[in-house]
Amino acid sequence: MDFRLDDEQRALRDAAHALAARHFDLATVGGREGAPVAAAAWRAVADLGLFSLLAAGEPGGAVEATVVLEQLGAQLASGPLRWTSLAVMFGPEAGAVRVTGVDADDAHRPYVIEHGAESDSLLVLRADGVERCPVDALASSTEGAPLDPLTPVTVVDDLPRGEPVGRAGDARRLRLAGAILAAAELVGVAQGALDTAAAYALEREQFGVPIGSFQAVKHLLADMYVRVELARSATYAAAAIFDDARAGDVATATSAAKLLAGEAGIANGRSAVQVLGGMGFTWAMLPHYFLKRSWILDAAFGTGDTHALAVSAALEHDMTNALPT
Amino acid sequence: VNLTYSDADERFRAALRAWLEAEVPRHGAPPPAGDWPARRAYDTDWQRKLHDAGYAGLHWPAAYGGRGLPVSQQLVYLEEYARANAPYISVNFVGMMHAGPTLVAEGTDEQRAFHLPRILRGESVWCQGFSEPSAGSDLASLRTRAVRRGDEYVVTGEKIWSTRAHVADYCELLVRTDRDAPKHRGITWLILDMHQRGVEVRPMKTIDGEHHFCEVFLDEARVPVSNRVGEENDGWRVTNVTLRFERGTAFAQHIITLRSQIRALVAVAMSTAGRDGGRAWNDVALRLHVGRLQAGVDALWRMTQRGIAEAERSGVPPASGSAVKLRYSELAQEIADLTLRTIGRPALAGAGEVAVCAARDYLWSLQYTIAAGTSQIQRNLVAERVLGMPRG
Repeated sequence: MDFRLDDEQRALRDAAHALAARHFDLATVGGREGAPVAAAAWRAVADLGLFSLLAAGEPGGAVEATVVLEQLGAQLASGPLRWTSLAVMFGPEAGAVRVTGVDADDAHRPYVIEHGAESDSLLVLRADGVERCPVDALASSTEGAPLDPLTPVTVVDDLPRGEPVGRAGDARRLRLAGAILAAAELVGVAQGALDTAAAYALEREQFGVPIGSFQAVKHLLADMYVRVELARSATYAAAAIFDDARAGDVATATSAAKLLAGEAGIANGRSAVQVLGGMGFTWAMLPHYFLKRSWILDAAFGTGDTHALAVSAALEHDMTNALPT
Repeated sequence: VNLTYSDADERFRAALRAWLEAEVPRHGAPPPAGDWPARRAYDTDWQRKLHDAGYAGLHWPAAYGGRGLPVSQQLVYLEEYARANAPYISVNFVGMMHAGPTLVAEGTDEQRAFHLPRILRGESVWCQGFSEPSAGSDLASLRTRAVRRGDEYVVTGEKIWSTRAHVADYCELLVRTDRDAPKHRGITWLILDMHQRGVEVRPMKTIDGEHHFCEVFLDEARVPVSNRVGEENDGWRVTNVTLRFERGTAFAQHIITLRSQIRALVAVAMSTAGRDGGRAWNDVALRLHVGRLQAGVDALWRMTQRGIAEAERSGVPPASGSAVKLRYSELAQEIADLTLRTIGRPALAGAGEVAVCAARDYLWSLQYTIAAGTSQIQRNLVAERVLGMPRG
């Protein structure tokens, strides 16, 4: 029991941080709107090893993927990072191609597929299994007008049948891993929103002093910090349990992490808009990107409500099956 | 990140679980609320049992009578303790969690040799004499005076919010020894013997009708100079050793207890009628709320594990301590609030044991966001000390 990143995990985090700062510079984020991820950036992420961390048959990897995606999330990285990271669970060729995916169980129509236009391959997650097909098998797709300008989306009414690559157990495992990776990105996004708001609060002056000296602003920032630290703790724990099932109940830990990370991302994005005031309401500043990305990620692999109900169902199950003490 | 326990940890868990399963029922139910002498006896007897079984002061260094166990086993202890629904630390809290660790860090050999074994064995009960009527959040403005006369300090003043002072033997007392120095530099940390003329304790009736807290009036109370901890006028630094402890690991037991409070809430919801005449638990809004609370409590426990692991390596409490305290206190209030709502009107009429407990827990929970640094002060601390905002 030692809830700290080990030396290798810290080194990986630092490398991911440097990579994200170089290839996904927030100062020029507007230039990435609506665009596919740059080839050099994609290659750098692949070279870091993200797309092979979750390889089938290999032990561990979820904590490492979490650490990397957190750093990429903080810089609002582009491209189908999450699904390509997951795709290696179904074959070693991943990373060479860009993979996106869709949850066929989602009750909402039409289906919304992130980064569809730039992806080569599509994973279809169904209740009873996982299928793979080329993206161009999608019939009559249209490009959506995405809420998040950094996440282009494709909209389709029907999903093609693909080649089966996994059964029901694989689908469950994919769903868990996907929720953990989305939570990891959300933790990064929530941290990025906090960093943006804190930097502005130190620099912006009103009444002759930085606005960060006002308690009303301090308290907004403190709440942002509490949310991101809670979400980070829950997400690292879920990843560690995914890697080693002896450490706890992976489904509940994953639901708790996804739920809290979604709340942290959306609430921190919202708070960053508020701390930056009128400037926070403009397209030119960063807060709206964090907020919009958070909504995309919150909707991926189960919303907060879905996971809250899963946690209370697990609690009920635990209590009704517990032996009387 | 390694969240699995070693074989040695699991052996420790198995032995502890067996011991708790035998001893907790044998120790019986706590005395009725309000009977403080009986409560003291109940709590100190339990502390003695913990000590004799080798479960006292797990986090204290072995050189001072503790067990010096690895942090992993401290966590196992907290998990099993909550699982067994073992007695709350109560009157032993200040001794075990504040005064004892402060003496370990800053006391003289004589002070440690006298007090630490007594705390560990449940032979002495401590209270805290920090806050004053005009020194709350601004603790350093305290005015209780100590004047040196020969080998003694003569202490006069008024303390407030001293928890369980009516059954305490010793008080960790902050006094002003230099009125001319800047406020942080004229404070001294003393060990006050509560059993003497010049110390008058008056319990205060609080919002829940109970008497947990006291006023302590000091009229020329005597403290031998040998009972000073740290140097004269260096008490603020000594105090911060204690306060940081309070914000670091001291809430771990409270946090893990929230799990059982949520389970109690679910049990109530399963056996109480809801709005539609069915069980309250059928209400999806309630299940959403409980799911969020449970996720929050789980995450808070994980955050505590992270903080303790960091503290183990660095030797100082984690920066996240204020954040843990903030979230813990608000979650505790939300759970108490939701429980009261779920029971409904019977909770307002004191109808039945569960209803009485729920009402009392709700009212008691209101102190969580006030005691040990209000939530407003904690937010200032996070913003200034962690995020680097300027002091206003």
